[in-house]
Amino acid sequence: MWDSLIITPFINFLLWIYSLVGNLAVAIIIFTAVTRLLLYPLTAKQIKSTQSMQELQKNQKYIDLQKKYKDDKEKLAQEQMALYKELGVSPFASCLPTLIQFPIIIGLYQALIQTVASAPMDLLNLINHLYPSFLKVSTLIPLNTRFLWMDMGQPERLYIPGISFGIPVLAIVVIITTYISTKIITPPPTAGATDQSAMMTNMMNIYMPLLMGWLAWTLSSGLALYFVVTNLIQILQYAITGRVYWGNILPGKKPAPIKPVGKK
Amino acid sequence: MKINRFYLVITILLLGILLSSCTSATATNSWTGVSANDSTVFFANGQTVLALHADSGAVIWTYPDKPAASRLFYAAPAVAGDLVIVGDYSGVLSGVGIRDGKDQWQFTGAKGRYIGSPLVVNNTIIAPNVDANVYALDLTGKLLWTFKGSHAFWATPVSDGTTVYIPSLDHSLYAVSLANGQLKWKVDLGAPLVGSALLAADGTIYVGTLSSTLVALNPVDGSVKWTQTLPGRVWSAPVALDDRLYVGDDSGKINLIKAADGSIIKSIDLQSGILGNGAVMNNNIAFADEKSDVIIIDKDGSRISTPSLTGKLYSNLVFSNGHLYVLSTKGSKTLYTLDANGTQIWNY
Repeated sequence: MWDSLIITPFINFLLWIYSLVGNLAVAIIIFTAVTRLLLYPLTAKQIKSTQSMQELQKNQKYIDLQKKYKDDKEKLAQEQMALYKELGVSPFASCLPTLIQFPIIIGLYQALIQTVASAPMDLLNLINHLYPSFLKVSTLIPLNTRFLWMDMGQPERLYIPGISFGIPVLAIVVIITTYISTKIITPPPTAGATDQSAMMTNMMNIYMPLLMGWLAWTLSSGLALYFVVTNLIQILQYAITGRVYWGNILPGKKPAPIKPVGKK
Repeated sequence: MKINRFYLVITILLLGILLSSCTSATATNSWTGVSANDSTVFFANGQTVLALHADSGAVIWTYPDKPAASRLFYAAPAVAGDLVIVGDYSGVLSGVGIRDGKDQWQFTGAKGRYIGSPLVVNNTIIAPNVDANVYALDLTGKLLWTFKGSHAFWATPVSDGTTVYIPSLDHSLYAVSLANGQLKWKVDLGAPLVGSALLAADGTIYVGTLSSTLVALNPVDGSVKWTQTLPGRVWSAPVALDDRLYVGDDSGKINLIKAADGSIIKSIDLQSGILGNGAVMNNNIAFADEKSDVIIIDKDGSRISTPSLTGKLYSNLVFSNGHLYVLSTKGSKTLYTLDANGTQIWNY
């Protein structure tokens, strides 16, 4: 069912775009951009919900609750839920868009993998995914997988004369864009923020770019390109909301803590 | 706090392993190939190539001594005198001693995978590569010439000793000189050519396409003699017996075709895809399908036996010295050896 509902339609959509533009890399860029735009209402809702939760951190009532019930987790949870209700904030509102997006993004990822068919069995699987009345094998195969110095079906490396090894340009770009996209949505520390949560956030901001970079280094260029486009669109989407912390990008520069609001 | 950090790192690592294991930089997903001479059977087996005694299946040697994940073998080995020629997915073509499985030489000039098996003709090795080149080497591994196409070559070439005929993924069948690799002619058949061609005794070339056609061509200039549309896509070469051709397609049909004009005599419906070429066994023909069955028919298409094996039987069948060799993909055994009646002799 996963195959018929998610992967097969995505593969056909991607290859339909390819049939219009004639290059798999360009098709991947367009495909990623279009699907991200279609998911934007969910992404916007998620961003808004996340920002509401971040704003809540600055609420004086919220801060007072943390201090008052710091030794009684159960009571703290109860009071927090009451405060959420009073302020009309749902801590779970950001989860639903994420939950909906997650299988779609995994399906996108798997569709990309299966489209770059570089061996007979992969080609057989790809052909079996095509809607026969929609796309013709004879016009699609072989796919034009070359883009600049890259082959979408192989890991990307740029070979420069005089240098004995290939430079993983896409992997480096993935690391940079992932770092930026996670850093700019991290708000400055507030008066109520704990060292633990700040440390967890910092760790995520380091490990996620490294993980994505490693994946981009080992996987085919097509997937690495997908990561880059996704990150760039995400940065753009956050920038549109107007709530980005560009100052976070530079390491070592700590923004001043924001004063709590609602203080009488 | 330390425990939370530990769990976070572990979670991220596991996520990375999961994502990268869902795919691979080099696709390892394909079916393998087998070849044989009178006494030995050679087959590609992922990270190794094996040589087994044809009569018993006992292992003679395994190549390489130390398998590596970066070297994957799927193409059937080619035998040339005292050498076994094997190409791998890292772009290395090796000449290996037929008795001991040791490297005699390696050619590393290719940039892509060897998906199709090399052809050995007149002491020349013709090796098609995914990097859109066909490399010709002598039996010491020295490069003689390179022919450049426009896209990947997946199929094993055929030759009449003067001209080499090479099907390409770019829809064309190329004819190049065996002596120097110069292009003689090329013809666009309108669809990817994944399987090899059949070179008949009269010189006619028969090749199937992924547009579900079988085409007969004149070897002199590549002009098309006839084109026949089949029920399914063709992934391998037809086989010939007397004046007939026998070709399987991925819709599950074995098609019996008149070689002279391409008319379909009969189509036998197995309802399970046939991707590998069949094998002529005396006056019978064997095919294997996706649902683990080997089908042995007589030349009129009547079924003689249908031994059932395991796994998906995608690979080309090979009949040599009374043995039918059948490779299985994801089966409980990798290689089955049957006699001409379909009875299992041994398996590996």
